[in-house]
Amino acid sequence: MKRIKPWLRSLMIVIATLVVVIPSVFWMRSNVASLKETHKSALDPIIMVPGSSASQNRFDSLITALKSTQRTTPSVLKVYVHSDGQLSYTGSIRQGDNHPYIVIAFQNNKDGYSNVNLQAKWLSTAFAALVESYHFNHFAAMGHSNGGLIWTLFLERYFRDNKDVNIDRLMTLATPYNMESTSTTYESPMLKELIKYRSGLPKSLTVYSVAGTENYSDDGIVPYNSVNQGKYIFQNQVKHFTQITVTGVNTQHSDLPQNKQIVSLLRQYLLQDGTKADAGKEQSSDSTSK
Amino acid sequence: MKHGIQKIGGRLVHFDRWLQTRTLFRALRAALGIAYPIILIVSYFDLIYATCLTQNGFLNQIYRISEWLPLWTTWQNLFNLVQITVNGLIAVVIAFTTANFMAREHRRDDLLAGILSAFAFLILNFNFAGVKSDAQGSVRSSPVSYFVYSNLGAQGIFLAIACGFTVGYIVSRFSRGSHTHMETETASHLLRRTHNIIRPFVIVIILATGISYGISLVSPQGLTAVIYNWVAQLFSNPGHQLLNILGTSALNNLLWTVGIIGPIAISGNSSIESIQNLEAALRKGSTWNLPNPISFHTLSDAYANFGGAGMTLGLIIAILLVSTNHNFRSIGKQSLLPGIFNLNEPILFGLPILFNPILLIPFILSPLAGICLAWVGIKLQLMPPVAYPLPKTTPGILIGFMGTDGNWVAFLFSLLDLIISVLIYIPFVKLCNRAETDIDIYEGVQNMVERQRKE
Repeated sequence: MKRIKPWLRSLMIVIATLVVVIPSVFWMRSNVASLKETHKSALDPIIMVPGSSASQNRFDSLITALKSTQRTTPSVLKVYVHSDGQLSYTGSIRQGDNHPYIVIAFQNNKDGYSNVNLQAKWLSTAFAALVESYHFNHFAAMGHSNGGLIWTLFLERYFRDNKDVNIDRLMTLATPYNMESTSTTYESPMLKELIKYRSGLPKSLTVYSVAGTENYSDDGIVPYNSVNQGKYIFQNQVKHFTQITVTGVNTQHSDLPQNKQIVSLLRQYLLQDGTKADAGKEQSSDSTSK
Repeated sequence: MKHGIQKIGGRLVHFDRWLQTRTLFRALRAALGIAYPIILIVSYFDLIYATCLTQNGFLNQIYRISEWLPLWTTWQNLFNLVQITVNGLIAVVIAFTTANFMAREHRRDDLLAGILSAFAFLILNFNFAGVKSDAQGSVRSSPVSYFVYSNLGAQGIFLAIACGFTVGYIVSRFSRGSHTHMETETASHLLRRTHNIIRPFVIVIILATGISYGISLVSPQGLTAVIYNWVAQLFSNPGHQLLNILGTSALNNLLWTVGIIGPIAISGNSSIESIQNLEAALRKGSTWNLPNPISFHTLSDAYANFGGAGMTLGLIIAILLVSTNHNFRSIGKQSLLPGIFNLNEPILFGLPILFNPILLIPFILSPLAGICLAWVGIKLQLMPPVAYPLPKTTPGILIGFMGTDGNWVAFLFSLLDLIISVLIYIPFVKLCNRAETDIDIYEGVQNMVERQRKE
């Protein structure tokens, strides 16, 4: 092997150093900038939308039940959307609370195809305002009854406007994807629309659809078959789609949010209690010195 | 004064030479030496994987490789495969080679001793917890490994050496006859080998199974975990005191030199002090006046880890500058590139640093010097502490600069730090020059004597 001339070798070393150092400095600047961004958004709220005819206080007892097992009491922010798109807030997000609850309710909270569509539009207004003031970039969603429809419509049609925000999980409780129909073949206009725009759903989303049954066919109000039709919307579209059926005491439609079984489902899947700490542990062991 | 230092140096060389005449030590050096090519080649795979093909790799971050390299995840999987199989099972190889050379020193069946030792090592790392859940037929989301995988890699080297020695000893002590190497094996010789190995084989298997089961009653993660947990507990958080940080660093590096690799899982970037520092730095827009300016992360990770534990980049440079030993120089050259990105396996196993009484001293001292230097710089407010998280493979010399978002004083301190570590290593590298050449002569003489005796 021929020996490399000393001056050539020095030149090569200088070039190699520059090739590493210059991009490093650029990376350093952008790294600090992006850290600043993500730093603001450690916030990971759980946003809830109640069903028709329900107010922003619909989930109070549910949140209390969820709270009782958590070490820190989470804060609750309630957003009331007026029919003209105006927002009014009650409650607040405490500084340093990364998993607050946000409940979004509507002045016009009536049932029906056109109303639910309007509510989805209002949800997008409220959502954009929340993102702007709190700078969060991911969240989990929960919808009871028609709230689930509002979420699904919103995710299909409006959510992509919020570029930097990711939804991690959506849990719908007794959401009648096929409205009040008990048929397995008939598709209501609502279901037709939901299926038509399903490609707008985020691919990374994990969906849990929980159905309650008092008897073998419904929870007193929402037919089991209607909840079951959700699979035609989510299956093969989102990352994971899980259907869960809860039976037993307190499985009547309006009781569902207070049902102990469902509270524990929410805790397990939506809040992912306990699992987060484990994930953090794994990360830290990854960064041990070698 | 100078005379005194020379005397100590002479003693060290003498001690090293004495060690070299010990059967155990020769077997150990040979065992590490034979594993060196594997470790060297895999460390280059590791280099590519850790710098380019992990999301948090230094080169991946600065060149955004994952965005333009086609089939990035495929490359990632392929390189990871080499990591998992070769690097992940390196302790099994060490268990094999140690027993192999032990048996060879005693003229016993070295090949079978090595195989036996590898088995014994696997038995010692049997995953009883996994088997239990298997037998009960419980639902498992992922298949449970029958072995504690994490103990079969670099983490398990200490146990592997101990296992190799023990098995080598048992084979030497309990074999029926001595072993002669044959260029061409014959059926009767093979049968004799079988005959010879039966007794040590049964003893080793029973012993290893017994120990393994006994340990499983105490620690389901195996023997290695007992050691590691114990050490980790002792030094879970070195805090803000300089002395504690120095002590932790010294102990950590001492353990490295006996093959207990990185027992103290100081969670650098993710420790609570570092997170508080990062929060404050982002809020203020600078890394001055942080809540925890002095921590293991701001001192040791940033200023005492150039080239990996023990400031081995300093050692590599010292070797390239002053070593006259041909072996040292070639190992130094081979280790330079991984060393720049803080991967020090080649130099650790090549020279080796492991169980080396001479290199042990600067391996502990130069990180301590780096920590003290950084402490002075931070305490006198000459430079701010590092706060921004950096990839683990960031070249050591850049950590101070980049971790403070471009503080030039921090960079000068890093440079000074590197120079000091080179200066600390130089006298010891020179001692090694003497030691190694002396041994070469010594062994040459011994071989000559042996040949004469045969004639």
